[in-house]
Amino acid sequence: MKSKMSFFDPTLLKKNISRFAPAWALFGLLLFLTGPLPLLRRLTGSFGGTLLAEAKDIWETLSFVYIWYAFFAAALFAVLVFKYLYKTRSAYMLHAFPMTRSCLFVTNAVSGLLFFLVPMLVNGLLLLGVLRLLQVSGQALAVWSLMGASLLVYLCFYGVAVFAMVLAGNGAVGILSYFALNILPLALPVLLLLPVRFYLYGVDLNLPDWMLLLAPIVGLHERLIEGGGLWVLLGIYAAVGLALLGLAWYHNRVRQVERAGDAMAYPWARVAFRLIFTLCCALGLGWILAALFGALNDKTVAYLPYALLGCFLGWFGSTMMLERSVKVFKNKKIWLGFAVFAGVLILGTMALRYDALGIRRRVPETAQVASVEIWTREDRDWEGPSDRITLTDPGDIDLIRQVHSSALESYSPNDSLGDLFGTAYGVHIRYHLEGGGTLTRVYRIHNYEDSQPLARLYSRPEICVAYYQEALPQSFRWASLEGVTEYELTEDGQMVGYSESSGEIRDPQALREAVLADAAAGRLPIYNRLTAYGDASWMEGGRVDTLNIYFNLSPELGMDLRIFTTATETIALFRK
Amino acid sequence: MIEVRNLRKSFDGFLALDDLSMTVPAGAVYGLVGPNGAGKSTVIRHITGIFRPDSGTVTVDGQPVYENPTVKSGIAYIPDDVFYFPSANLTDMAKFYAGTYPNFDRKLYEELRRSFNLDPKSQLRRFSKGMQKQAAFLLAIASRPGVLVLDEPVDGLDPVMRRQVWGLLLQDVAQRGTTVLVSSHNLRELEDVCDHVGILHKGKMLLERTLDELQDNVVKAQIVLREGTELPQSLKVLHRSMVGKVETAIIRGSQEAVSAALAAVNPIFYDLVPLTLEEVFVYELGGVDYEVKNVIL
Repeated sequence: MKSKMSFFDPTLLKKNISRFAPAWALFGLLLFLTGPLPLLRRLTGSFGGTLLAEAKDIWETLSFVYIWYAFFAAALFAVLVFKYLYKTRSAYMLHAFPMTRSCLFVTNAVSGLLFFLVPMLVNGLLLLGVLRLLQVSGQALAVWSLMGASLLVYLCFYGVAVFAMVLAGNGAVGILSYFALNILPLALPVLLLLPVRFYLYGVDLNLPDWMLLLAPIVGLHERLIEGGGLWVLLGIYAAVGLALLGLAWYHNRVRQVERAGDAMAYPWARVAFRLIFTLCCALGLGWILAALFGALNDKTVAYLPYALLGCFLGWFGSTMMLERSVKVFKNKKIWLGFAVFAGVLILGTMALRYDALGIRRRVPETAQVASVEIWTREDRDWEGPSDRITLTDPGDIDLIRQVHSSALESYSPNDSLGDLFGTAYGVHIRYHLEGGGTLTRVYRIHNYEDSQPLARLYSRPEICVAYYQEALPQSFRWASLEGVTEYELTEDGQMVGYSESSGEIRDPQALREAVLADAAAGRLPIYNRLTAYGDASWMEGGRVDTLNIYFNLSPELGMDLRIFTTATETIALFRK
Repeated sequence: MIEVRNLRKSFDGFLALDDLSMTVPAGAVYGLVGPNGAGKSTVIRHITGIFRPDSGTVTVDGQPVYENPTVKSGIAYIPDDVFYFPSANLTDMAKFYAGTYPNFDRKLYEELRRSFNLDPKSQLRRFSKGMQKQAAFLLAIASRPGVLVLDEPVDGLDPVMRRQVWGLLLQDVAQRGTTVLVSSHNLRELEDVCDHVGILHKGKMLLERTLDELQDNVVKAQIVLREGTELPQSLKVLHRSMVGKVETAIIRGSQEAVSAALAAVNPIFYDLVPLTLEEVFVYELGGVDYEVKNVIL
């Protein structure tokens, strides 16, 4: 006699394995075709390089490929094992069998895990077999790491997929929900920021880099490319996947099986589906339509009709899906819901456009500001650290306030869209307020004269000294300077020669002293985007303004620092 | 014994079952009748543990059914629209049932399969609807359940197949005393097999009796009265109609009492004819404008 507390049914597991054998067998074949087979071919072929290098190259490729395999396999296997929920006939029959809902869920969930795990395990063994056959040693750990990482990635995606499939009442919405859950944590803030950034000129609302990690498919690629902390991230993702599996199990216990075929199986999910779908349509589709019809060329409320159109399509489209009927226009309650949503959208848009809360217009008083940071560029590999400087002198703070006010005065609602996102030539201002808060803005300085008061700050010796004290690495293996300092040109602009500067030093202290001496003497400003220098000027007079110092910090870690050719002491140090 | 007490269930605000109570005695063959939308399938899905009640209880032999595999392992269910795993054949399904139902009898399954002459290797989805139903009966009965729940079991089957299916069912009842709950909107079908009947309308149980109670208490009389005589006032006539000189009256009461009363007025002719189950229901509920009439007739 079966136990009432039984959480697993081997008969159902066996049935799942045999029923879905074509799916997991094909997945296994795919793994073989993209893992052991190319490995065998590359290691036995003449591709150049060592066998070890070839193997490492394949691991790197597979680490990206397996993310996508896990992403799609999770959706496929979750749909297969939970599709019985989507038809009343199968849902009723399965629930009539003598097993608890937990037993059904756990057995199906384990089936879906095994469909990935077993082919992946066999794949790992085959990879090891090929390596052994070709006598490539020391790669077992790499293979198992790849398999383990793939399993953790799969756990994450599978958790999301099962959660989506349990929430949904039919397969199409289940798959749509899966993709949405994977991307919405990142996409939704981006969509919400569209009108905010559009209307609130100057408000710096770039998403922080860590938010990329909210979308695992993006976060994993980002981390694989950037390197570092991958296993921690995988652990977090896998934990999230397990938590979602737990949530799916909990929801499945109270699922109304009669919801089979509905878009969403739970009342709260129906509400969330309608709101999120409408929001995405209002902001996303509205934005696309506004762009297509040229309504984004000004900052009037011309965008609003398109957002409302998107809202209408989203609200009634989602309602049709939820009600499984196109006859939704006669329902007064649905119209009322739309009216409320549209009302909030109109109010929100108008509030942003006319800056109802004074966010766009706000310039803090000098007395309210403890310090202010400005920067014109972020950290870049090829330019070195950001030119971020901190000002505490009330006179400097007042100067920043004037620039701020001037930027606001020159603001025109008809500025092109490029102004909003084109921060490359803009200046970032971050006030640290006496009360402890911060206020960050970014403005594009429209003309050269207006930018010069700020540009001069980047030449002030005490600011430069403070900057280079921070910017210079405390230690390095070696630092090298290589580049042209001046071109010799004929009168008609033909290049006839050039003088080079090059050299390498290994003494951080000597370099620090030279750089700080140049900075203190006013010979080494901070590289920024407001000062006139660069390619255009050397073409005129053969003069070259900037050079790069490359710091070798470790065998795999480097850093650039852009300096000016006026830094004579520093350049002389390298020339020695 | 199946006991349903004060069961309520609503779907999106629509009240499908309204404080419903019913009792299916152990070993009974209980016919659950009602028009489409009365709530028959909803009751059955509660009794088989598919639906979770909004309120009320559903027990089998005193044990709640919902989320209770021990109880459910003694219940076999044949829905109106049978489901098999896609691409499964009868052997596959039998293996699954054998692993799921602890009392599954492989020998009985083989015997029944041979008697039904169903190909065990053909995919069930390629079977005709009748053959799929036969397969469902076969699997259900081979599971040796204590309770067999059938939702419109012979709907869509031809008369020969109906006879075969009912025969199989009654044989099992006779041999093992299985409790059977069978729903139908066709009373004619149930009359020959049920000993208890419950009539459901708009989520409520209108009437629940044994078949004997029902049929013994109402009599159809065909009478030719002498000139100047009337039916006795003591008889409770539910309905009367006249064709020529022959009057047909539906009278509440036992056969003996009605016969004695009619004999007392010395008619030219009278005869007591047994009522069909559907006639009993029509006249029992005659004063009520229920759609039940449509169901029965």
